Amino acid sequence: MNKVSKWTYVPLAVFGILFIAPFLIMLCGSFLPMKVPSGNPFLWITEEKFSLSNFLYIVVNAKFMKWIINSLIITIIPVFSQMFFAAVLGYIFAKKEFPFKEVIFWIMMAVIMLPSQLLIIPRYIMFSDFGWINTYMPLIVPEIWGILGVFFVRQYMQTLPKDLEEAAHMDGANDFTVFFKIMLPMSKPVIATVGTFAFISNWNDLLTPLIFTTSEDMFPVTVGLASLLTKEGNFGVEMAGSVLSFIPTFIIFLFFQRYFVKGIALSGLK
Amino acid sequence: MFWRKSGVIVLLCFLLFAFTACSNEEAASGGSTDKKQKATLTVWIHPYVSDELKGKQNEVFKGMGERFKKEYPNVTVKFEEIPWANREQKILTAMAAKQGPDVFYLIPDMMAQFADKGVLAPLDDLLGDYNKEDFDQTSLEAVTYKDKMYGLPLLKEVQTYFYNTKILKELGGDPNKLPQTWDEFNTLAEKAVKKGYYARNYEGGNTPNATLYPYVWQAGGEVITKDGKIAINKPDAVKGFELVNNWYQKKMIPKDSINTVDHLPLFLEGKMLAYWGTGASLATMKEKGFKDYAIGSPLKEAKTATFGTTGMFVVSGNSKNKQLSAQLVKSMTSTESLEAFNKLTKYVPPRKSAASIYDGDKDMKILTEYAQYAKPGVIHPVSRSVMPQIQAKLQEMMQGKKTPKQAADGAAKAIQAEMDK
Amino acid sequence: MSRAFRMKKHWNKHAMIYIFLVPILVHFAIFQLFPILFSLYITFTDWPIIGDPQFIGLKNWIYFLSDEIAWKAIWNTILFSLYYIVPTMALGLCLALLINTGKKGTGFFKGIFFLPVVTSFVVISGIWAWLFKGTESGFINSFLGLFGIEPQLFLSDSLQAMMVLAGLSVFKVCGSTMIYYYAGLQSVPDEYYEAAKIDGASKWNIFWKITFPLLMPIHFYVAIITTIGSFQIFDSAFLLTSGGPNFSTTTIVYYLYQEGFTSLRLGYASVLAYILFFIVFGISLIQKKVLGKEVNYK
Repeated sequence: MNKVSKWTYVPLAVFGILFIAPFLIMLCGSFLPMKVPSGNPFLWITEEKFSLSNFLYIVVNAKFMKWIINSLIITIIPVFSQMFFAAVLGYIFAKKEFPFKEVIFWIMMAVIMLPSQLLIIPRYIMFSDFGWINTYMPLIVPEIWGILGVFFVRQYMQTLPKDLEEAAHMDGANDFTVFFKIMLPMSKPVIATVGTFAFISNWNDLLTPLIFTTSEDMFPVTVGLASLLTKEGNFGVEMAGSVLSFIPTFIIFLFFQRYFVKGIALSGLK
Repeated sequence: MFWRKSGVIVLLCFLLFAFTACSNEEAASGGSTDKKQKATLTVWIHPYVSDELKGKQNEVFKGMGERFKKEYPNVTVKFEEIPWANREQKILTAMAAKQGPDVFYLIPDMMAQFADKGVLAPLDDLLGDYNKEDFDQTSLEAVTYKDKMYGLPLLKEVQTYFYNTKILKELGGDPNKLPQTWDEFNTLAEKAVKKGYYARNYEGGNTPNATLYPYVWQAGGEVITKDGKIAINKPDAVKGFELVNNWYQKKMIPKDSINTVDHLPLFLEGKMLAYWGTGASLATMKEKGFKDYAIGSPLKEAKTATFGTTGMFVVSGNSKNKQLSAQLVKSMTSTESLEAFNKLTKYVPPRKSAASIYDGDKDMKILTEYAQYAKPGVIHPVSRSVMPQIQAKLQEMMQGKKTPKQAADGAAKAIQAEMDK
Repeated sequence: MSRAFRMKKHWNKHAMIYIFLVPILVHFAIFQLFPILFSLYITFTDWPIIGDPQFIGLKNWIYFLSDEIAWKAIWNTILFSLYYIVPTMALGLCLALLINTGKKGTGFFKGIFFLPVVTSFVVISGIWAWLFKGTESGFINSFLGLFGIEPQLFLSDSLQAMMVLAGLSVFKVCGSTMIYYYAGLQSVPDEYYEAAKIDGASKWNIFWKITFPLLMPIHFYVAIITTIGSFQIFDSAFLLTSGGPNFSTTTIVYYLYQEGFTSLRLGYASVLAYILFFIVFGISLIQKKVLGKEVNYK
């Protein structure tokens, strides 16, 4: 496979341009103070319409910053707690022995095969009774751990050699020491993967917050941006909002892309 | 160990069941109107103006809050803005969770749906004197459902035609003699198409309140009669369907009329002879510096009619301070409040004493005059929930899959099915 | 004494399980297991958002059988998966083959192809709506105009709207199918290729005779993932078309959302949720039967 001609670059470039174009349009559009621009988006910037007014408008008028903060709250908390629980439970399911271990694990795994929409209505009724509607709770509490992350860590830890922990146990270390001193440091990449997955799925979720938040002050950025889209459209403002809400994802993407890829490779695929 | 655990799980499930099954407490009712009492009232409002004017809208509401505070110094009024989209869901969701506002904004057909569910507080015994004679009769009818009053009117809207006078002159029309009937309009429309213009807008993505009902009424038809009979497929009403179909098939309205939500840019760019819109559209035209317009009649076939909602403030059945909330609604629809609000939003004020804000404003005078022909929609508990179905029938007709008569029959069937649910 | 000692020993050995696993099992019971059973109960009730629920037996289920829109929603969703699954897999495989050449810069391109995966539907939908505007001034329409094709309605056309939504999903998801395939390609042992090269097989043949069949487990896995994903499509239908025109983009989940949270019929919406579950479950079973042949590299 090492004698590949230069021609590979042609389809690569074509696809690359196609995939990056929408993002460039978004970026160009965000600097354009117009309701419905038309024509060639790549010429917009070169004309004299370039301005930051959309961003100013969004920061000043729309509750955009509040939405970003909401999104951060309902994303960051689950990300860290999911990483923690994935590590601990992954360790327990991989290394500890207790009755019905396998049964419990596979029941949990079976539940994620269910479409999540099945849970929305009963949870909605439950959370109404808890008085959780329009708070952060329905968006955080069900998300504090995820079975998929547990599965990842378990898979990974099962491949780690036994002698390390056994040696530690010989020295009289207890589970906590073994876990924190040996297992956790060795599993960093897979735990980072869990965090990355959790970040993306929570940051981008639309349906759940759409149902559980009612006031503009509680919207995460997805619902907020959707409300900008369904209002009388102002393309420039929409795109500026899109750019702002895209930045955190982009940062995560830049730094953690390889974990994402690793995670997919780790998920039991040969 | 496992059994102990599973026992816990089963127990929890039971507890939760019990918890979810029996937690419908009665909401506390009433409350007195002692001027000194302490309370916080929450009011849900919407963006009634374009984004550029948002700051001014906030000032208007702040003014209303302060006016109420003069009377009740220990009451705090909190205004929260909710987007228009999916607002029914948002309000009901909040109410179901025993949260939600004390006072919120509704339009008549939604009010019927809400009142039917029993989630609104009737105001008849809570208001005291609110200078009833000052409100015009149609707006009071719009806030009444089954002989109970559920709100007080804040605004009246009216839909009618705005003509691009440049195009009109080019087609040989006269801004001082605008069309009064369907025939006159359609003659002009055909000329417009010949010259390469669209005759008018048609935002099929909006509710039938704007896209179908006005023409059904103009033809002398009804959607659902006063005594709850379906009339949308009677010959008169079908004429409304035929009119829309004729516009679309003859390309008088743009191709994307099927489900677009905004044609105003096309009108502003001078590609359209007429725009069917409201005072809000007029405000946008002015803001964009569009000056060549003339306001025409909403037209008649059998009678002059149009859609124009009556926006009202209602009191939630959940409110812990119903009496106080009713007083707040009264204060927010006083002459002073209505003047400030409608001056900014360019709606027609429902109180006669507030009409003077448009002295010297020729355009608004005309709109106020047409407001007498405006019906507030179809007042029936199912009227909101059948809208998507009726929209779909119209879309099928425009795509040529159904004749106007078939579309009307389909709509009738959908309404019947919804009533039977 | 010894009992206390045993207890202590037991605690030391299992402390982690008691401290972490037990609370998580409780959480699992409350937020996963219980709602699943509870939602089955809801299907037999008339459960308004406000007011008391009533037990109505099978009425919701019977109503579903005659509900034209529900069947249309199922059909729409199937249509969506037809437009979406194969293109996503094919494009993902193409991209994987391209970046698997290992040339300089493929890592950069891998990043670009993967970017839409991490981007939210809301962001891409805004751009999509503008690209596929159904008037002459729309970007794609201007582009088609260059070739003399007249403006298409796209999202305002009941046949095209679903294709536009499927296109958005292909664009958004094929980066991740690419990653699956890339991982698969990486794990194909080199000996196979060496042997084939010695036999003088053409590239085309190598791909179809060796690479493609060896990727069977990946095909299977990706097919399952994309199919299940396609039946849960909601965001783009909600954002771009609101299920229209004429219900042509009302997918199962969108209809569920409408029934539950706009028409406020939670009982019936739960029936729809169960229907979705049955479909997804059925698909997993069928795919296991058809594609479930394990491939061994040994």
